[in-house]
Amino acid sequence: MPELIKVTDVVKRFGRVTALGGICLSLFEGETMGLVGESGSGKSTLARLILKLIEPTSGTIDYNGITNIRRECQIVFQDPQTSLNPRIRVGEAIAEPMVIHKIENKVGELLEMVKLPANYAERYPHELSGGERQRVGIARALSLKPKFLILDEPVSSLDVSTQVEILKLLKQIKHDLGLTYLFIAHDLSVIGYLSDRIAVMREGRIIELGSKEEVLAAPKEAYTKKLIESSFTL
Amino acid sequence: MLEVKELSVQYEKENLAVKAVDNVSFGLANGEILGIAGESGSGKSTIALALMRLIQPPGRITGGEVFLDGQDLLKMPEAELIKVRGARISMVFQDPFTSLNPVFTVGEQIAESIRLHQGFGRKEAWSRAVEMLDLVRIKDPGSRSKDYPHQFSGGMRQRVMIAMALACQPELLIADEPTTALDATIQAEIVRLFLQIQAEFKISIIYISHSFGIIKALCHRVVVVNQGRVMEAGGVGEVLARPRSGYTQKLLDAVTALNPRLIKEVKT
Ligand SMILES: Nc1ncnc2c1ncn2[C@@H]1O[C@H](COP(=O)(O)OP(=O)(O)OP(=O)(O)O)[C@@H](O)[C@H]1O
Ligand SMILES: Nc1ncnc2c1ncn2[C@@H]1O[C@H](COP(=O)(O)OP(=O)(O)OP(=O)(O)O)[C@@H](O)[C@H]1O
Ligand SMILES: [Mg+2]
Ligand SMILES: [Mg+2]
Repeated sequence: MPELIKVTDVVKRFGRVTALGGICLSLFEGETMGLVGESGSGKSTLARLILKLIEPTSGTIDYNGITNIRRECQIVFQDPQTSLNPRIRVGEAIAEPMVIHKIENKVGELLEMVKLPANYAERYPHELSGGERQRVGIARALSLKPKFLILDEPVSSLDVSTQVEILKLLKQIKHDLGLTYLFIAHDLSVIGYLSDRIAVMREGRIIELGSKEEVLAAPKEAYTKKLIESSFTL
Repeated sequence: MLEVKELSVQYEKENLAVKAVDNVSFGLANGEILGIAGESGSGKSTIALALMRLIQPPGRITGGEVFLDGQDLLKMPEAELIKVRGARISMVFQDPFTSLNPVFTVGEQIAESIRLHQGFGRKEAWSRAVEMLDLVRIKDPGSRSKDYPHQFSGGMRQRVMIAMALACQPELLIADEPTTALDATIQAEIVRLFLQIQAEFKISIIYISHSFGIIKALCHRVVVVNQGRVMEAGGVGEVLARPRSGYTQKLLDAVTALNPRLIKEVKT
């Protein structure tokens, strides 16, 4: 499979904080890369760099077959509240990217896809529960049929049965549209469900990278083992 | 210590009323940890907000009583209620970003809350704030306390909310999905921290979570809600092992469906 995005020696500093201390990562077309790691290890920073929302301190990111990053690369932000304008109704928020890029408006269809009633289009973000807002973020990101989608903790506020529905949907969409995902989550069962490969981050570095089976069933690093052992299961 | 009786909350809009909470009753003993579980949109956050009378219009508490040590919070004058909030009850809101003030540093916000509710001086409050950040595992808390909320990662903000709520040493802590942005190792440490604080200070905790794994590890009792109604309530062991409600069973089945055998095999 061809390389879609290649991150080489990327360093990102914010003042005295080194958020990323030299990242190399290749994302291949059609794969789902799961990204797990400690809180504050730089996952969201890496996502924003790949989308060119911020610039690296040093290092390069190369794109293969992507010409319009704004349109072809989309993200579901970790914090749905901050990415939705409180004064704009849900329907308009979902429609906005389609209007900007002049493509057919399918708000109703998108809402249905994320299991929200059609009349939610009329609501303002604060009139939704936490998990409902998260689903609006997913609908909005899918509206432009991107090639590459970053999902930053997209289902963390959802109960497991809604999680399963959304994950199935994401899997289906990826299959139908041949998407590539970078999937950030801290829940290993969620990561395990969707990912082909998994990268584990800690303190601004990727400390382990391998196939899902390798990383979950035979982790090499002590930190990865600890992550697996610390998960709360029934 | 807390007795919720037939609580109902409704969101009203253009002659349309959504009953987000419908006749919900439950009790909470001193030193008890109670879990609230249920699907997305089932009314968990609304229950939590209603307990503290923080429902904003067009939302409205349409009925019920909330007794804290015999006093009905829903009938209390606002001035008195303000003293209860923060001093006796504190809350970790589901959405950490909107509840942090963007123009003050993280340390200032925690210190301010300590000063207000515990009467410490400036310097003491600041060093307590740094201690609290350390307690929730923020690395390098001394220098990071001088950062603004937008300079923190999602999970770090969530931990600031927890630090702020605990700093007030409340009698009742209401935590709404407080660890959703945390990786498993830090999540486990936060759960341990809650258990430790509960044991040491005998505080009561209401813990809202969609994770039955966490509820099992942390809570004594659990209330399962669906469409604003209580489906079942009981001891955690009892409810998880022998759910009486089909709805609870459905939620539990979903967990097993997702939980990869992979991880289970590694663990055993
Ligand atoms: N704008 C900023 N200014 C200063 N520091 C920042 C900024 N953005 C991120 N950081 C810091 O960079 C580090 C990495 O943050 P990032 O948000 O990438 O972590 P993360 O892995 O996504 O964590 P989480 O799982 O908690 O969301 C953190 O120490 C964070 O405080
Ligand atoms: N301000 C509001 N106006 C109208 N409806 C609202 C408002 N706030 C919440 N709701 C609705 O009330 C119901 C309960 O919401 P609530 O936030 O209590 O759910 P929740 O159980 O906390 O969900 P989640 O797990 O997704 O956070 C939802 O259907 C939601 O859409
Ligand atoms: Mg993040
Ligand atoms: Mg909620």
